[in-house]
Amino acid sequence: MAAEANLMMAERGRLRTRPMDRSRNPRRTGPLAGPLATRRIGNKSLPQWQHELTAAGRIWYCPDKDERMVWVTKVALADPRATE
Amino acid sequence: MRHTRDMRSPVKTFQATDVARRSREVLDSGQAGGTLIRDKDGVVLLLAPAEDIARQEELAVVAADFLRLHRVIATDERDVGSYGGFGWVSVFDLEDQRRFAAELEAPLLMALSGGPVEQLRNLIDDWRATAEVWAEEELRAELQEPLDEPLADVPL
Repeated sequence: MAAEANLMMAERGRLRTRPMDRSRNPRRTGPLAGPLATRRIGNKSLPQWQHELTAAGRIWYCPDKDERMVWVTKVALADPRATE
Repeated sequence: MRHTRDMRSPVKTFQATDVARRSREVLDSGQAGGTLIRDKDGVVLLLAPAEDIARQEELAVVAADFLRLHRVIATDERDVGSYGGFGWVSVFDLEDQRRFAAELEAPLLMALSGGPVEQLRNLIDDWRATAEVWAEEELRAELQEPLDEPLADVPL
């Protein structure tokens, strides 16, 4: 659990400072495309991003540039395919 | 930014005997954009930065897969194998497959023309990541559901 807490703390820092920066690892961070490119949050349609926390963990979030806010919409610390 | 071959020095041609006699010049020419070395049997060899060769090979594969994708979209045969390297695209419905092909065109042409390749790589990575999510029905539904309250909000 401590590892998960540390992971989430680190992720919080990334989301605060560079949620749309994919320069460090473009293959692990990026906007979803096509039918999942945007998500309705409240009355707004926001871009939907995915970041691979670890090989088995993902976080999905929607950055709102106008409000300078990142809406975290789902965190999966295990591969969703492994939960079946 | 990477230079295109067109923007570099013209490709120089050397003879096989120059490799030993003018080795520094041959190597410098190779680094500057490519060197042709004509062997004694007439075969012409190319000396160029490995990064450039790898890029050309990568783009050739993507271009071939792009053409396969167009062919698949235009026909009714949509088994995974017919998509080549874009097999993962088959999880999407036809409309989204067309959308991916349309989005791919400009960055592919740009990269094939000597422009940066990052936009093309990012686009493919983003669609591939989306395909992985799309293949999971529950996750797909969850990420499409409108939200009134986020799980958490992080002020920037």
